Amino acid sequence: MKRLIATSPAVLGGIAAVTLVAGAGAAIAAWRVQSEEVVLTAGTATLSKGNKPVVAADGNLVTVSWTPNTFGERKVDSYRIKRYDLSGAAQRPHGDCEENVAKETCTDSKVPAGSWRYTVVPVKAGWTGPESEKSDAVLVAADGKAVVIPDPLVVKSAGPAAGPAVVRLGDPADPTVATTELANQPPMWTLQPGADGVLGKDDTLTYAGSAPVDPDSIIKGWDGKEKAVTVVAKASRPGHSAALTVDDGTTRVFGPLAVPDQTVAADTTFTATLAAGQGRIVVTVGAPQVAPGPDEAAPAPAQPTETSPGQPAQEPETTGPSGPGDTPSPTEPSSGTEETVTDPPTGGTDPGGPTEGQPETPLTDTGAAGTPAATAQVTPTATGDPAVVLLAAV
Amino acid sequence: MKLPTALGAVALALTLVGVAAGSAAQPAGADLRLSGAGRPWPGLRPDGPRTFTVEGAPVSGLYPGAERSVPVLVRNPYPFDLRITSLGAEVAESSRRECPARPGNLTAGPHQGDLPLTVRALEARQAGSIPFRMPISVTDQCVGATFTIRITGVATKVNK
Repeated sequence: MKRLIATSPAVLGGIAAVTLVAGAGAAIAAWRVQSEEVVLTAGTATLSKGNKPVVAADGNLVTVSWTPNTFGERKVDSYRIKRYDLSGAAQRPHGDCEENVAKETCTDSKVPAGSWRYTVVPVKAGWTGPESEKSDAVLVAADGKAVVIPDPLVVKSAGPAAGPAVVRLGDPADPTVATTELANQPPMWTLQPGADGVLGKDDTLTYAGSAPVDPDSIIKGWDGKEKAVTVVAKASRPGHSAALTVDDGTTRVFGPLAVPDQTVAADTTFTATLAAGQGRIVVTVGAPQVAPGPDEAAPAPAQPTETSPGQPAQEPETTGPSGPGDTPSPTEPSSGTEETVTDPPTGGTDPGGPTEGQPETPLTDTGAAGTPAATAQVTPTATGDPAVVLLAAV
Repeated sequence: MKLPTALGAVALALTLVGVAAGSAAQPAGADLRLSGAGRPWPGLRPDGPRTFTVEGAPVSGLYPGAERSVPVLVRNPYPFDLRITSLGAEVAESSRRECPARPGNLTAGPHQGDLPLTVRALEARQAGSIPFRMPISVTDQCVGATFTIRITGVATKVNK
């Protein structure tokens, strides 16, 4: 071995070269250092909830509009519009509401008869934000007329029969109602406001159809005997038509019910009785109570609105929105009129609808005559807009 | 001793000297500090800095198509200058299983800025930025998710 090293300078040189290269490489590598890992977070944006849309109806055209959604400093790309029926089943709207909408308004076309609510879902690329609250209900009658029914201001748990509906003027005892066009018709509402044409003491609201209404379908476990309720007429906004609700204390039995213009004073509360008889449900209203409201101390009937200029305030029979064709779908009867509504509930063309304009004919078949006296609060709006009747249990 | 043998012996001696010198210059263990958990740089106090640090600010408000650039600051804790040779980032984790940390949901781009970059001893210096991009196709499952990003750098000692 000694000899090999001593006699092989080439071997020695090679070893030297390899060692030098390796040593230098090791030295270079030794000076390389990696930093500490820094851990950061990257958070994603959250799209805000869609804004509750405002709806306006013109026949089978429903215009939906809303305020824009933003996240951070940007607007979302578009909005997805959903239409719901009363049962809560979602449908795809038509018109320019069908596809994602890049604006803050769209019009749903060919809206079928029924009661509909709309929601807005903000969209950013593949992301969607939380769905908005449902809009006020839009009720499209069979004749194509439409009404927007504002939601009650006070929300209570809803009973099985609660929901937006349209009330027509008329006498459900009229033979034509029971025997002809209303055959096979689901229950609907009629208002018998008395000779003055304005809902008041001893006036009635009747819920009836071609088939008897089971009291248990109105209030679970109710046998149909007289039951104290509260009827409240409330306008969702000043200058807007009022709607009625019927509550039994904790539960909304009926409503919101859109009543014909000028038949109910806004901001009025009545005590009332609810009773079943002859297959009908009848609400017999007691005297209204004047609310300790601001300026309007005295109970006053609704005055005519600007939308019905030709109709005197004290002639509700002629102003009744419950035209013959004004029949809402049976299960979705109520509807209130808003200024945005082009076709108030009056004057419906419903063929089988009860006769209207006969407020002097109160219901006689309800057995509600002996109902306990009702108290009510009447606070007509300054604008004299028709009121919404809210019925509440006492 | 013949001349070739003598030359060989000299070469061997020089080699050994070179190896010894290289070993002495090598900061023992420095090349193992890839995770930043190594021993202090040779010659520094045992409780001294382990390695240099990279700093950046959290990112927020990411949405489909959003691009964010995270400025990077390199801090040199050593009593000698450092030459930053690379900086990089990776999206390491996600707070949501349905929105995993993968390029389809969030990507980290290559470092933007001039490299190499010298950071003076015991000083800090801005060192460009790291871009992040959320693809437009990111799924709805990533709404509200939070990603964890790791940024690391590599440096060498500047020999004067």
